[in-house]
Amino acid sequence: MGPLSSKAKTQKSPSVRDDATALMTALPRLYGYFYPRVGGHKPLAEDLTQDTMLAAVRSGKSPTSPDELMAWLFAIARNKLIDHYRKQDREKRNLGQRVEDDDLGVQPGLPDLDLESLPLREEVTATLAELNPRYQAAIVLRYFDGCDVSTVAQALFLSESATQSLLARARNTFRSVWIARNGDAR
Amino acid sequence: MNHDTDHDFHQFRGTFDSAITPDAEFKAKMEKLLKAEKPVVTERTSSVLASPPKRPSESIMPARRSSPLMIAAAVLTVFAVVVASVWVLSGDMLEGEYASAPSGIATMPADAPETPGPDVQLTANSFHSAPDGIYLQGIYDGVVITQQWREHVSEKESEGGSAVHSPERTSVIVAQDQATGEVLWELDQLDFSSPRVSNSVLVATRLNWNDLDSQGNPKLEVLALNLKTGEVLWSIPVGDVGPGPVVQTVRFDLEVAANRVFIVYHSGTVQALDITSGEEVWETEFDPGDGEILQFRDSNDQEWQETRYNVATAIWNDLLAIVSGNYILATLDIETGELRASHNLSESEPHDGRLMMLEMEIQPIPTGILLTSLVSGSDTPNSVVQLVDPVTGEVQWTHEFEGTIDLHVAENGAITVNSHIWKLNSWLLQLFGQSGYSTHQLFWMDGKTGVEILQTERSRSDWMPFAMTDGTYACTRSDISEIVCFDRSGTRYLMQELIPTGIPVMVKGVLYVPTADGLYKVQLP
Repeated sequence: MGPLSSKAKTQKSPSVRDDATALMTALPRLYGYFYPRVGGHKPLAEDLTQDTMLAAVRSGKSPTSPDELMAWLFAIARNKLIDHYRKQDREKRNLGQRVEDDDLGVQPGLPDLDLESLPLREEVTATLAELNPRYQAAIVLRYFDGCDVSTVAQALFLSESATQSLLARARNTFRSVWIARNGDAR
Repeated sequence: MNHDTDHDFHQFRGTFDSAITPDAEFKAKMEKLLKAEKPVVTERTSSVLASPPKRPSESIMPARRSSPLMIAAAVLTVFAVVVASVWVLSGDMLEGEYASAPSGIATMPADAPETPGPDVQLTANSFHSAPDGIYLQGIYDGVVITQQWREHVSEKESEGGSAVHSPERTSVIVAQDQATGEVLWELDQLDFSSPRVSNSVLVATRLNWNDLDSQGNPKLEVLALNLKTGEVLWSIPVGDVGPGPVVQTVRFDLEVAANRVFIVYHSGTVQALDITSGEEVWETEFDPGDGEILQFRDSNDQEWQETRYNVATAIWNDLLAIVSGNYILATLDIETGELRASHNLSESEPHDGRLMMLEMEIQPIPTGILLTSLVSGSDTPNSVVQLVDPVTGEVQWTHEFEGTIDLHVAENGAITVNSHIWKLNSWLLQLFGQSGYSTHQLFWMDGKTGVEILQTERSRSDWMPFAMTDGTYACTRSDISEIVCFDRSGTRYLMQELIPTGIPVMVKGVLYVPTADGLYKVQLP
């Protein structure tokens, strides 16, 4: 039974801006979150980082710990990213462009990659940049961020079965582009 | 080539989260912006009839009497100040009507009773700890089904013969007793979707990469498990490869009822199986409508075309309802497959010629099936929800919502509708790349009558919104780390301790919320 622990009152939340230092400390991590997820497009990563931090300040929230601050910022960031993918997908549709790639047949799986290596991470980022927005969104949300299929489905306004289908196509296309860029290492 | 469906992609998890220092110019810009930006103060009162937040009064620059040159200079100066100030102006002025933080204030219908009491704070209790991530599949007959990821170190032999240890993540399906949290069973390396339960049998679909067809494609399967023990009862491949090489082009819906599983292929075939044995009981055809012809081309430049149909299904009492994209409703007897009714619902179309498409899901409630269609609205597509009697085809009520919607139904027929609209920013913000933002609004309705119980104000969504009801409460997400629930009087219940990482499930006054470190229970009073 939930207690009636709070009375209605006018609340004035302290601004996150009051701890601007903490926010600026979070800047490299936020930027580092967006940069690979938008295919290494620097201006876009900056825009999304800026949107996220401004949204955080405007909300008037004040997280009580650095961990809570980062978790909260990343939650805003993910939704900014989803909005960005949706917008790109919508623009592509409005222009009448094809939104899914042609069928490529079954591609071999990716090799085990030493992702400690910066050049290899940059290569993954560059490969992602060559995919259409929907495939980018599916790969990033599912495999970079570890979202479940239902969350990916809702983000892209698809049913779960359509999302599974999309993920399979996205993976196949990513593998195909990777092989085209790097050869088949298997 | 044999390989797991996505194991080669799981290596990406957690490796693209490193900090990257941006350019000094961007850092300086952010410092300036953060100093100038101010938060928007949120006022919460006990009144559920509070009106939307007002815009702050705009200052008016006094007119000046001066020469034309001075006037021109003043105009140019004002213009320059406005453009330069676009980053520092309050969000109220530039970002649309509801620029304040989402309030979760309920707007009650006109004949609502007096304001209820103050907000009630809810507390969360841990149900299951899962530090590597958890996804809540659903809660069925007292069993909580989740998908979790376990990290382990695998040992492989390198070319030189030495052992190489590499970290791997595998998917595990876990079943727990809802009352005690006791783990009933676990199944390794299983990843399925769209689970359905009937007669204590859980039925789901999966891509089986361990069983490939002659063209090297994974087989799509329907899988049945004993819900209480996890024993695999049967699995069958579904669909045919079709004209192209990718088996994922097969589309179907899965339904269960009593002792039957129904595989409804969008191309127009229904297969009914015995739920415990997987043996076919009957098969029949239905009209899937006109469909859309799509062209494909593979890497060998071979071309083919495929017709995609738009079909939605639901189980209602002892009937299987199938609606095609042409708005033909076919209702089949679940025991025999006999066609009990067929209706052309486009004759009851209330859309005044604005129809765009039928949504791909229909939802059953005790008094009928809920059909959602997209129609063109003034600025955005709108969604029309109709309650249809599957036997008579009669439309019992119709309600139109702005934007696209998510619909959730409770066992007693109450429904929540989450309406999404993308709002455009002013042209000034668009110049700087901030084209718009997502908004959502919750509607809670009596599904039987279509009468509204409660709605919230339209709020900006900088997070993944969701909404659900169990008939007694309606819950939605009003902030990244805030879930708000209402009872029928409009009293508000707040959960502010959790950051949901997926869609919660609500069962009889208890919310199960997945988060980054596990599954939590929130008991509503």
